[in-house]
Amino acid sequence: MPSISVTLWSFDKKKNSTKLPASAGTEFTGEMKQSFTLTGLEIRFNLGSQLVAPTYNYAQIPSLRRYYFITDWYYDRGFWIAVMAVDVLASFKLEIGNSSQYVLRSYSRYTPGIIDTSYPTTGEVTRTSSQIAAGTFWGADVTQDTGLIVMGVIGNSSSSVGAVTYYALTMPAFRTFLNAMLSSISWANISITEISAELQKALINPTQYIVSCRWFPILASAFNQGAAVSAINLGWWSFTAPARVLNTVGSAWVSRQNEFSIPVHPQRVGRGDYLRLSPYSSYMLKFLPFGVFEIDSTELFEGDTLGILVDTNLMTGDSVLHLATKKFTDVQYNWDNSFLVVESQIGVPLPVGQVSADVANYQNALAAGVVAGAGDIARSFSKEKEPATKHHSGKF
Amino acid sequence: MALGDFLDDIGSAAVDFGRNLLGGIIDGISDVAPSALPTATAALAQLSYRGTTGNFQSAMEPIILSGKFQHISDMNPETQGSPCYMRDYIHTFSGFVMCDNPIFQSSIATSVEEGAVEAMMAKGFFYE
Repeated sequence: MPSISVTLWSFDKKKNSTKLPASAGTEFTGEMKQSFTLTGLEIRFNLGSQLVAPTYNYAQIPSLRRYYFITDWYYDRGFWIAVMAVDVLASFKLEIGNSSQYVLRSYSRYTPGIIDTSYPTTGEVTRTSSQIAAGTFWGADVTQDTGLIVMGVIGNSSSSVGAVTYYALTMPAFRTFLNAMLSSISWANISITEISAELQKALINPTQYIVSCRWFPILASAFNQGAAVSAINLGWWSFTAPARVLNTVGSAWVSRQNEFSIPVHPQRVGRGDYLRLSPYSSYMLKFLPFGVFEIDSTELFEGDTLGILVDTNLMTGDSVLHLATKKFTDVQYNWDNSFLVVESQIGVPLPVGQVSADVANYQNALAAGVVAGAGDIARSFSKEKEPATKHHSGKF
Repeated sequence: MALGDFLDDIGSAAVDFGRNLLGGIIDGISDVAPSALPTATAALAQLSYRGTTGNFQSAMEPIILSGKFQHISDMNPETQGSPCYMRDYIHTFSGFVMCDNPIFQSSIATSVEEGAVEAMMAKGFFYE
C-alpha cells in the first residue's frame, strides 16, 4: 500500500461550507488502499495499540490538493481506517470565490424590496392608523360656523365672471345680508302709495338673483382672496354686507395640503422591508367626500410621508385630490408625480328661496332627444335600412 | 476472469465508492427553494367607495390613513439568506449563498467535482 502524508483535525463545519480549519492540525502518515478515487478513499492509520475511537473528522491530503470529510472510521486488525469523502467546497474555495454567479439568495447582500415568500404569515394582524382632523385640514369647524360661504348672484357688478358675481362671506355676514334683504322691502325704493309693501314683497323675490350658494370648510376669517367689498349688488339693488368679491377664476382657487406619516409594518426592521408591500401590508385612505381608497402599497414603499393636496374652485365647488409620497429628506412633494388624482365636490349646496333649474342643460338634453328621435323615425321609414351594427359606428 | 477485467471491476467499485460518498455529502444538504415574489405582483390600488357631493357630514369626518399588517413567522436569514437576485463574484458575498444555474469550472477539479460544486451552489452553501 502506498503511504501518504495526511493532516487531521477535529473540526466542526457544515457540509455545505467552504470553511477551512484555522489551526495547523496533526500530521500523520497513512496508507492508501490499493484503489481509490479523488472523491472518496480510505486510509489506514496506526493510532496506537489501544482501541480508542479517533476524534478526527476532517483531513487534508496535500499531495492530492484536496480536503476531505472523514465520514467514518473502522477498525481492522490493529489499524484504524478512515473513510473519506472529498470536501469540494473547501478544496476549491479560491476558484469558487473567483467565479461570477447569479445569486438568488444571500445572507450578506440582499434586495430589501423583493418579497421573500419563505416565511408564512402567522395570522397575527396589527392595525395602525393616523388621522388628520377635518378642522386641521380644511381650517374651518363645521360646528363653529367658521366656514366660508360663496354666493353667485346676478347683479350690477364690474367684477362678474360671465354673468355671475361671486361673493365670499362669513356665516355672520351672510346672515346680515339675508337680514338686509328680507327684513323689509324698503330697499326696492317703490313708494307704498304706488304699491303697498305687502304687494311689493309678493311681487319681488330677490332670491331669484342668487344662482348659487355653497358652504366650504375653509376658514372664512383667514380667507383674504379677492377684493373686500362692503355691499353685495343683487339684481337692481345693493345690500350692505362685508364680503370679498371673487372677480377672477384664479381668485376663487384655494389649496389645502397636509401629510401623514405612513404607518409601517412592525416587522419591517432589518430584512423585512418588503413587508411594507402587499400582501403583508395593505393601506386604506378615508377622505370624504372623495371616497375610501385602497392604496397600492408599492406607492408608499419608498416614502416616509403621504401628502394630500386638495385644489378647490370656490365658484363651482369642484375639487381635485392629489396623493403623493416623499422621503423625509425631500424638501417638498412633486405633485406632478401624484399617484392618485380624484375629483369631487367639496362645496355644500345651501338651498335658497328660489328653486333654480339648469335650463340650458334641459334644453340641450331635450334637443339631443329630439334629434335622436327624429333620426330613429327617419330610419324607420327608410326603405334601405342600415344593419343594426352600423348604427353606432360613427365617430365619437 | 482476465486480470484487466478484474482491475476494471476493482477500479469501478472504487469510483462508485468515492462518488457515493460525495453524493451522500450533497444529498445531505437540504434544499432551500428560491422563494421570492416580484413586487410587480403586488395588489393594485382600488377605489372601494367613491364620494358624491359635498356635505356637512363629510366636512366633519377626519381623514384617516390606516394600515393593516400581517405578521410572518421568524426569519432565518443565517441559513436561508434573503432574496438577492444579483450577479457578482462569490467572494463579494459571505455566509449563505444560493445561485441560479451556477457554472463552475476549474483547471484542477474533475468534472464530477465541478458538478458537485454546482449542485451545492444551486442548493445553497456557506461561503466563509
